[in-house]
Amino acid sequence: MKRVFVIGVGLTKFGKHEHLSTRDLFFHASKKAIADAKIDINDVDGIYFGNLSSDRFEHQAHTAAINASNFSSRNFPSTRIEDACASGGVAVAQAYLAIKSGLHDTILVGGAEKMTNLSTPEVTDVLGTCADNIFELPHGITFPGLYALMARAHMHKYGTTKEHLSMVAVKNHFNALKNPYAQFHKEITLEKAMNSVIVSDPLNLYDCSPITDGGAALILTTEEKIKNLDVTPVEIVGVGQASDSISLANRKSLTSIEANKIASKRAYNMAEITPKNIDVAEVHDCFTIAEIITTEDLGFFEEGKGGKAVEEGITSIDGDLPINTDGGLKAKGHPIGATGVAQIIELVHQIRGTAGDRQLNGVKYGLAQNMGGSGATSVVHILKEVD
Amino acid sequence: MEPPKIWRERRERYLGIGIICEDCQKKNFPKTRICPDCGSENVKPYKIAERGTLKYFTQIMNTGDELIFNTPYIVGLVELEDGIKVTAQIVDCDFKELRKGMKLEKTFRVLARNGKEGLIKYGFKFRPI
Repeated sequence: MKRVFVIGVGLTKFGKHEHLSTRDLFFHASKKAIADAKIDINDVDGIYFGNLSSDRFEHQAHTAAINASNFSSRNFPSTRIEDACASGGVAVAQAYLAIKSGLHDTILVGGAEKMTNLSTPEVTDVLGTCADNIFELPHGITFPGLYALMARAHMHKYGTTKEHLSMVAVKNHFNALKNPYAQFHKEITLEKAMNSVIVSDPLNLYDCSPITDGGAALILTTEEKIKNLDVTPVEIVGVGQASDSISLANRKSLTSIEANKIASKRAYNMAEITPKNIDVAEVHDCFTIAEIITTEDLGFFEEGKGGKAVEEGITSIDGDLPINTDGGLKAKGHPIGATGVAQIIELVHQIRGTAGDRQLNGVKYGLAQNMGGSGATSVVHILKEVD
Repeated sequence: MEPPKIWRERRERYLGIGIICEDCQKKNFPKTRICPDCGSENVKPYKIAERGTLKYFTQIMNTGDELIFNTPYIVGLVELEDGIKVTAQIVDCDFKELRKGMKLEKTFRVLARNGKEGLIKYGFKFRPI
């Protein structure tokens, strides 16, 4: 079987890009990834593109073909992937499969989302389409609301506190200070995080990821192709994906996300490693409680101990297992389709030693977990330093 | 099918109709064509229980366009007497009065008016007994 490597990464600044649309955001990120890989667009065999809802955000569907037309090679196959907030991560998994199968050698894979042109209630409405529109959404539940219910359950079962949630926000805001691409460069105190305006009790403003414009792209290729390139490749050694009931009420548990557990187990098995081998992880902290639950689901901490791990500094950038060194969705920003791809970009930087001021020492294995909705889709990638 | 027709024809949406599997006897909501527990197609409609207990709840302060003028409102996860769990609004009470394990009953209410689908949406909510 072919081995698959990341040889180039490209990111736009995350934040508000008033004059850029989805196609522009993806184009800018792609150009950077192509340059980083030291290849030409004509070396690319096809595109996979993660995007939640350019249809609703910009009244534009069929964005995959637009992305291809942005380059001179407008005839190559281009495919859009929509799996809610996991669209970017699943696009990478599909690109991996395309190369692994032998159909393609070199793929441009990425994601983008243009969100800030709509009002907050309109964005809430678009994101709401990722919940069940017949049995969940008409009852007035929102995504902050769904994660608030999960937070309440975790607090009740394990004694997780509001402080634990806010500590995730403080940590991720601190990490984003050293990420020039992050939406926020603003250190926050625990007191400020705790006392911000309530969005959906017990979650307040600093428990929620922001509305963001942004694009991210990777170049994936084979072992044969990298022989002639002057790049530092990083290998994708594990991929796992799983689904679950879209509606939270129909899940077996509210204090863990089963799709995370299954997806990560598949990725660990493929990589032939255990959670103990992971040196750095990017997890989907759309809400602070999501980071706490996910770090337990991935096997980093015992169930119920995720909050304590943040409190003890284990997940801080100078801790034993740094989580979201780039600021996470919370502070780096969450342009839906780009998010899962941007997580992998951070791992590539940490592994090849190009993470700048937030560089960790001796990173061999990195894990990225990207999820959709309240956890109905989860996709996990494990990246490894090339010996 | 245009949205209003979807609304009217999804009776289970406002009446609370799920399924009971005639093979494994498990009950599920919403209505599906096969039993999500055992995979049997031998399922028949089942009206969910009228009463239940409050598991977890939140007060929604920000929401989408359709319900923006209803904020703040309370949404809870309710475990019914038949074991089925549903997401629904909790009404006729103050947020501060709510407690985990509180007894609730189903009540037929307006869910939203003047929505994008252009009609009044009816459905169930829950209130303290």
